[in-house]
Amino acid sequence: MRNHKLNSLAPRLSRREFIRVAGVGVTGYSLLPILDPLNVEAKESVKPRGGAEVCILLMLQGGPSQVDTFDLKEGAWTPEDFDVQTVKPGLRMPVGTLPGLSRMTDKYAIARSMGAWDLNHDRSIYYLQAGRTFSPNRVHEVPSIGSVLAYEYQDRRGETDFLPPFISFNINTDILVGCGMLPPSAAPMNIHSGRGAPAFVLSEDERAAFERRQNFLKELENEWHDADHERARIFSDLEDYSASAFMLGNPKSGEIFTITDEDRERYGKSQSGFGHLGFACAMARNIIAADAGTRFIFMQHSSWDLHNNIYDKDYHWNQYTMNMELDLALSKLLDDLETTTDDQGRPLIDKTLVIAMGEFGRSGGALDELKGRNHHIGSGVALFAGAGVKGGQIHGATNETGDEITDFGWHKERPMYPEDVLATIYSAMGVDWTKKITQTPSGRAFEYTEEISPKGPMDFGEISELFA
Amino acid sequence: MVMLVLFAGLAADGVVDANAIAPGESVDDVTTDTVTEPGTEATPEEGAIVLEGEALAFAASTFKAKCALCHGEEGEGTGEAATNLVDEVWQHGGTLEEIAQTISEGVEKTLMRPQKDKYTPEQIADLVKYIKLLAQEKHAEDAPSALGTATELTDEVAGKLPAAPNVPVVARRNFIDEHIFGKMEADGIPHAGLASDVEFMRRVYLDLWGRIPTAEAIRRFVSDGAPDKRDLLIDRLLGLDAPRIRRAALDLKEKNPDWNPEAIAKELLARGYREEAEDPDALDSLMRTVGGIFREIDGKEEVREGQRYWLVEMPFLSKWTFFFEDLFRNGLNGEGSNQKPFREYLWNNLKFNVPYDYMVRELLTASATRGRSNAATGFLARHGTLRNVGAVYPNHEDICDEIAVYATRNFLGVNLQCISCHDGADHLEEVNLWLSRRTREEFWRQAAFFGRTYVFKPTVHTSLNHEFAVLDAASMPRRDAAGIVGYDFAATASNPDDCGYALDAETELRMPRDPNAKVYPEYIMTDQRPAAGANPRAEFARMITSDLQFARTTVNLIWSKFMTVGIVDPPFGFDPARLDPDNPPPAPWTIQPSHPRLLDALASDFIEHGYDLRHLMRTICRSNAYQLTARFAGEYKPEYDRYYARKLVRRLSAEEIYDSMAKATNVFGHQVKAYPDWNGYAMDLPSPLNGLCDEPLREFLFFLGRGDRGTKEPDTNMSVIQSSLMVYSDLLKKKVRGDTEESRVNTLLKGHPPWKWGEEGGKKLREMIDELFLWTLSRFPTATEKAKAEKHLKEHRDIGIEDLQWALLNKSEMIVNY
Repeated sequence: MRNHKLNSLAPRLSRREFIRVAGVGVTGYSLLPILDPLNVEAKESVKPRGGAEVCILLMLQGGPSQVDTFDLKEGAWTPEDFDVQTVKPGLRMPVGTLPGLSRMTDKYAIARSMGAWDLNHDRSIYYLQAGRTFSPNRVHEVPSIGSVLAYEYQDRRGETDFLPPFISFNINTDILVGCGMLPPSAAPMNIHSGRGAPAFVLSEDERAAFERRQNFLKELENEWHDADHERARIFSDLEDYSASAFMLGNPKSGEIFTITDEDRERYGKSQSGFGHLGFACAMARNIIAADAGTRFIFMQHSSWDLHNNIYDKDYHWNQYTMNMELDLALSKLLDDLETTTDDQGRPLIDKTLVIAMGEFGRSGGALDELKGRNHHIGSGVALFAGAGVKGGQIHGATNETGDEITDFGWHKERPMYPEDVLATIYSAMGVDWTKKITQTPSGRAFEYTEEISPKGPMDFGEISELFA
Repeated sequence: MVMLVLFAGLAADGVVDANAIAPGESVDDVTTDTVTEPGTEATPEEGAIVLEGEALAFAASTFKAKCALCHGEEGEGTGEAATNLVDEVWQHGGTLEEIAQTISEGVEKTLMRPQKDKYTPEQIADLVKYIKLLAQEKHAEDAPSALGTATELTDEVAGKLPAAPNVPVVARRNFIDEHIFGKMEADGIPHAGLASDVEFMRRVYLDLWGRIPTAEAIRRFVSDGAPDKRDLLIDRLLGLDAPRIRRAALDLKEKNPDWNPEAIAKELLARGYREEAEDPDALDSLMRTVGGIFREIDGKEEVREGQRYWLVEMPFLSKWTFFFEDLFRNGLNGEGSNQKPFREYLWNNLKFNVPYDYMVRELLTASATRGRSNAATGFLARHGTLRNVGAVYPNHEDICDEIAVYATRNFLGVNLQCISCHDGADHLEEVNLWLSRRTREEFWRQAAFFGRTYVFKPTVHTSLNHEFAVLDAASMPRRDAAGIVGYDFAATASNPDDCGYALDAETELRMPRDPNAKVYPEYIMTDQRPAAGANPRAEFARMITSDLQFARTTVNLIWSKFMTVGIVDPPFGFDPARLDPDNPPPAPWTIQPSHPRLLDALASDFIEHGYDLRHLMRTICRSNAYQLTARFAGEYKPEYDRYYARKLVRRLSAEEIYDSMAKATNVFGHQVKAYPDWNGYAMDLPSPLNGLCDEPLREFLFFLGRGDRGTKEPDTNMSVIQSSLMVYSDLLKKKVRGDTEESRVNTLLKGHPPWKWGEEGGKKLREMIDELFLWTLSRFPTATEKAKAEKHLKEHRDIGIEDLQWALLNKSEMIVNY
């Protein structure tokens, strides 16, 4: 099946029929040959920056308040115990809630001119992963950026790479964008860091049983293969994907996905929301240190959707809890990525692009009647670190309430949109972000970086200023 | 070891699994190939004829039921030499062909009547093999571990069956076959043979019921000699054989007026009638049925809805209710928003087999106001926006657009999404010829049929109120700062051109509309406009359901679920400009359907039979086109797919996988707080989105591709996480454990007391292996599989059985319908 040639296809319109049919309903498999590099065209010759070998995208789900974090605006509303200090010339930080990150502002860059397209959480979260408008027409075929990176890196995958190329942490499964039309090997593996080691981390007792079962299964599968060539072909495709699941049983998985007492102490654990950000960060560090084939790590930290009583520490979750959780986990992660080195003695941070951002920002100024802040797409913040990002820089600026961008802080003189962030990731990962896959199930080309915004054509691209 | 193998001296190649006996395959094709498996007890020798699996089951049961009267259960006869079949004396010739001849033609002036009208040549060939094996067995009796019964042969006879011959003779059973096989014949395309009984059974269970059959049902089906047993099974799964039972019961009562319900039920049971294809308490349920019929006859009690005998086909209702819930996105906007009533509505429509056109008209014209809810508004009430968030109320025109998009997609198969933002020209030339000629303005006109229909929550506090209001009014609802507080009932629009659809409305979802355009309701397929004074959406419903394209879309959608690929595929990608074979589109376009005339024939048949969904499914399932095997001898080319030259394999849906695993292992075991009465089948979860707080189950289903009925449609993609769930998940681990109460493994171990390893002599062990294969994979093991399993079990014992259950659940065939 994988050796099908395109010449068996007549006019282009039949291609989507072909894709479904040739895959005998197992969508995805037959796409491998179709996505031959020949069909991945680049619009122009941009030069990807490179430098990153892995990317962590930390999604602050719910829409974090920029004015209570990295674009702090002081006013009558600012609580005293935010302990706002000038940590360096021109940078005021709420040291009371972000103690760790306040002390290491030279390690990351802050972008204060982030834009978003949609006030709806789910649709904006989709943007962050897919880099384009949610469209029911294309939702089946559009892959997450993590899957595109997995696909781009598949040739560089080593035989001993036992981890999936795309791992996600603590994502609500219904908002996670998968591999779309790309092969299932590019699909994300979602892990809940708060639930102890994933099931594939086996104890030594279990391992013996597991290996016995696995071998037994292999024997039985082979028998079925021998029995019928044509059917065997169908099933061998299915087995390819379970083979990679078996690889997860690698003894090293235990070290990677088990939280040590030390990490438990250092990273703490989040109390709110869906998962345990600290544990996810510790595991992400282990994954990168293991260098076992993972290229994209997508994490969710929930929930920054603070509508009510956000400065009330007794309220079940609030600005303090969210800031503190993020601060502890992210500052330790950045520390550890700097002090941990790869086998060539290089700090991991040098090859790891770390981005933290929400799907949109929040309304600034004084609190609203619910003592909270509302969804806001006119401004927002993002943090960038590692892989050549110049730390200590601040890009963009907003007005005194933090609602309006007054300085875009980069060459395109407009807000930095999710599409631009994705282009930046592609570039850092050495991928030409103007590439497109021209032969898709819907017939519409898939551009790595979208060319059309909800406001019409837009020249999305790398935020090169970050790397200056 | 015992010799149970005949030498036929035939040469062939290819090794096929043991379940592969299909009607139409001849004994002459029996292969001589062997599998040499060191250490196994029953290695067939070269040149062996073998009989096993369902063919063996058929032959054994037929022999016992019919032949044994004169020839004895083991062929030893009744004392007369002529009746002894195992004495190596053959009065009429002892070759396979001669014995077959004797059975077919009978022996004059004896009780041996010609059997050729009762059995097919293939069945007679199987009987001949069986008789030969009985003889072998007789001679093997002196051996140390002689075999007892004929069923034992299944365990001991190794072997293979012939590869399906290319272009085997497959009868044409209905108009579907005429089209499918006719086209292959005309184009010289080879095709596969018919599926074996077990293949067919698993397939039709999954397609109609969404779950696999029980081991008992498989054994019964395979040994059933009735020539129309496949048709009967289809009817039974569709709930269409209830009248058959009823007829039989009334018939018995007439002949035996003094019989009570129990006596009649026992007689029915003896004749093979079952309420449910796999009912363990068949007698009980038959008695209830008969009792109900009696009461009905006596006029003392009305037949009440919901009694068991109405619900023979409950899993059918579960699966197809779920299907339509997915199609109509039931669950979007939250569980409370009419979700449960709409589910019941769909269930009841299927249960009473309400004509589909009637149902669709009802969906499009239903109204509800606060305090007067109406389940049928479930379709219209899903199309607000993707999700109603907080106090954000979706724009009226956006709702109209969404309704137009989904109604046109679901009922006419055409995807208007693209032209809801821009004209087709300059966009869709290479995608869809018809759409490339449509304009955005035409789309607005399609949406304008709903311009005077308002879909909204009666109060702004959406979380407090689960009702939707759907009603027709001439003007917008009254609003104040808090949202909609009421609505105006102006009887008619003061201006007939005012269709209630404003082109200057702001839009959240689409590009701004053009205030200079002209908009009035106009059906996009034919440019028809509603009759003056008529309710526009009632007119829309009428136009849609009287359109041939509606029937085409429906039959093609259902077809694609049974045949894996639609005649037009994807099923919602119709190009109306490319459907008529007598009026082909300009080059390079081609006619879109793979079988345009079959599509129209199916549509006409559907219309003629009153838009009867069950009739449609039955027609498809009964065709031999549906009943082809996936096995294909010779070179298979991808382009054969569009001919349906063999069964096209599909991956099961998330729910089908979970339900089949639960049924196979008999471990359901998940309590969901919100649904205390839940029976443990994912297909029967009242809502896939809400209340499913049991995270492992939720995650399992989502990663296997469950849809969320909003932004994510169900899919059958693959990912590592899926297989890692299958391989490592605790859900699965629990299902395979021997100490999980009532698990299959648990029952098997308990069911053979005293189970002492090392003393089992192989027989019970092999029965257990058979049983696990039947329950899990719905087929018999092949000889080598069985040998491997036996070896593993002997070595690892209790743990080995768990291993076997685990491995079978993880075999790739488990998650596909093949």
